[in-house]
Amino acid sequence: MRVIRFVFLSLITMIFVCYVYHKSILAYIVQQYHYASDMLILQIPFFSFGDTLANKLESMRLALFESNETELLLPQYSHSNTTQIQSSISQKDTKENEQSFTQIDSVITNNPMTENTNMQSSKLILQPKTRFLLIGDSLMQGIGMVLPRMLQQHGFIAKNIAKQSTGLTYPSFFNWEEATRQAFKQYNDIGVLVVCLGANDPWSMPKVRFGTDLWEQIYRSRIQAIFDIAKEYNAIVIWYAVPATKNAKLNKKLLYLNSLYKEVVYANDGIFISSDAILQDGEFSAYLKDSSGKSRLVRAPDGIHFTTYGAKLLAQMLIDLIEDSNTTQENAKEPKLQQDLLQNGVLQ
Amino acid sequence: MVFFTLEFAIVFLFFLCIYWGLQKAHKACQNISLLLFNYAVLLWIDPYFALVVGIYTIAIYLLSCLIYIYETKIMLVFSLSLVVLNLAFFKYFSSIKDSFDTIFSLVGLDVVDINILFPLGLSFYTFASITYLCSVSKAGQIVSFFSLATFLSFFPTFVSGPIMRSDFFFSQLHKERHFGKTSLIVTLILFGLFKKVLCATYLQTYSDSILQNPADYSTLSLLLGIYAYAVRLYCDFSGYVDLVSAFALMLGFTLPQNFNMPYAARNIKEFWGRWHISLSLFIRDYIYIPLGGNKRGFLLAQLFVLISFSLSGIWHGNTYNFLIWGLLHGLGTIIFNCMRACKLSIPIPYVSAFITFHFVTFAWIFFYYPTLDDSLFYLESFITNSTKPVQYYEILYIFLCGIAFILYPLCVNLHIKCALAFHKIPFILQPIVLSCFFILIIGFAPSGIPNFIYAGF
Repeated sequence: MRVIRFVFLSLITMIFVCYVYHKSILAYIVQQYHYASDMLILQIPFFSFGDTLANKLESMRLALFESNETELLLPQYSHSNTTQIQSSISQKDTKENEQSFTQIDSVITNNPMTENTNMQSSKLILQPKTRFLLIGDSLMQGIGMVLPRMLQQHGFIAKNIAKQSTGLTYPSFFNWEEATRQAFKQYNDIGVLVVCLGANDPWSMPKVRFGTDLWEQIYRSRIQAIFDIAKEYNAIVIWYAVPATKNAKLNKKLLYLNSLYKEVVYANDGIFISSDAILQDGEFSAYLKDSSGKSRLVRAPDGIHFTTYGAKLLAQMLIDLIEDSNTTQENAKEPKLQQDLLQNGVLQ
Repeated sequence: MVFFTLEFAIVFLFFLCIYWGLQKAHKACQNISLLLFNYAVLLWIDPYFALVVGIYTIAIYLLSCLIYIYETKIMLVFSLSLVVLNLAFFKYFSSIKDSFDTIFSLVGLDVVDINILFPLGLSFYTFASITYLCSVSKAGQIVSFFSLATFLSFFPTFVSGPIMRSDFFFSQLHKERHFGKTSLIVTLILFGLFKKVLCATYLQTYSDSILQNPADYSTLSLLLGIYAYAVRLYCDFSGYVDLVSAFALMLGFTLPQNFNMPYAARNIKEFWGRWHISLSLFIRDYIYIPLGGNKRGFLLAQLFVLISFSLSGIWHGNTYNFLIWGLLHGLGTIIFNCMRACKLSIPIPYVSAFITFHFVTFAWIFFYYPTLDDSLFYLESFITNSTKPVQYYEILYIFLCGIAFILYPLCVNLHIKCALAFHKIPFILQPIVLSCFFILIIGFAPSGIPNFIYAGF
């Protein structure tokens, strides 16, 4: 009897909570299971009270915990973007959406764009106190653990707004275009935009299958949108490739995404940073040897995320792109990391 | 972490119905369902972790049989050595990987790239297995393979403890269990979510912003940063323990207490009686006492204290910082023991609690930073940045910290008081009250699924 009472109590509570946060739950389902739901954009009268309550609580949360000017009011649900996708779908022949994923294989085979040899020879000369804006997913959060401090040691400022589980495939879950624009509006001194995302992206969009021409077209336009914002504010874009993971199946898709990033980056005079710094001969390895020949753990047990050392190697790749004129005395550890990158043949 | 997902809530609720329904069929069926669910959760997190614990269970079962058959101390020492070696192998693999590579290349297997990653929960089920092997040697009784497998994969304690003694678990597994303490379960879940999802997450954002850039902040800010980190660690770990204690209660099990208002401790020894209690007791019973405890004189006892704390530090990670952190606590305990031997004490409880709190908090610096240089840089900034301007709100924060510290002792048994209050609410209103709390916690929580700090150990 007590169990039944407890289950009843739990179920009723879950129903109430789901009623209030149904949009958050749907957004989570979309992101986690790659299931597209129209309910995200529909305003159903039954849920209006729950929506109002959730929105009020969110406003209170932002006012209480994130009112500080360094925090951004990051957009969560975008109606406009989802509508845009749907209108573009209606313009296309639906048959096009049925193209097989195998098309990606041919794209990769015909276009062997591995992530090598993409470091540009010229170095970036930046004004002291230039602000770097860091955007992306949990991989950027990992790099963001170490990069701001390294940038600071070179006399720069960094703002990290990376958010886990995000990408460009589901703007209804999180819209990076809007978030980036908002950040540029809030900070007028952003000189460099650093992007690392994609690990959450190799999935079908609502009614658009992954790897089809339409998918690629939409995805490219979203990459381009990030560049357009940066251009509007005269910022340089540095784009990190998504590193290969423990999951071979996922890697094939990531390679495809990297090829898209690389093309758009070069078309817009951006800088593309390869992930070779934490790969072993271009392939996943949890350990890498440092300059002293000692193996160091670079990846987390999930085979996707980075350890602090792994993140430092990637951050160092970016630091090496900058003309070294602002280095402070504290920055004494970087030559060691540079040697580690040289050891792995990443730096020439 | 899977425990924070909606999917887990639904699946666990569904499992509870089956689990308690099976009790009427047969207790063995209920226990089998528990074992299956444990492994289902592990497979859900990562099949690799399930595989490792599965193989480990077979090994422990065989070792326990050997101890049971031969009844010699050598067999126990041999078994414990293997268990500790296994833990050390996984835990410090990154440090010994090169030696393995050399051996592999010597035998012509240099093409094999060994990528061994630390399995989730290994430390905690290793400790649990040590208690079991010692218990077999002492009591001369072994349990069935299925009971052992249930013990080592018990999902509430699998990820980060608390370390449960085998006798404590098996006595509950073998007796008839009853579902009860609904109000306490509900309170523990709310406390766990509040501490972990709200407090720990915001405190992390706040403390990281300061501790990651100590050069930019005033001494007062740095003090607030390390205070925030100390409270965050407590909220993170005790929030987790509250949550898993609730899960265990739902299954009819009671977990050992792991936290008891640690920052109210009036000396370092008392602190270790209130912080990660199950680990403190484990170290006492399985390291300090076997070394000789306090039976070989005062000086040797202090040496054993230092060894025990050093091992505790190294267990957290094979870095100098963790060793220093362990040694600091060891030295703190030795100083306290010396003071006690000289019959010296601080008569005002708040003053002794204040000193203990600051000792523990500043020792966390070595726990927080990965390298000694980083820790020393924080301490250097703490001294040299005293001339930096102080913001008004920082003075307010310090004042609030002082008030919280004074009022903190009033929170004793707060979860019991809250459970009693919840129990008094009419049943029909309970879902509404509970929903309101959940809605508030979720509403004020930052987005994303949090992880536990101790899952990494």
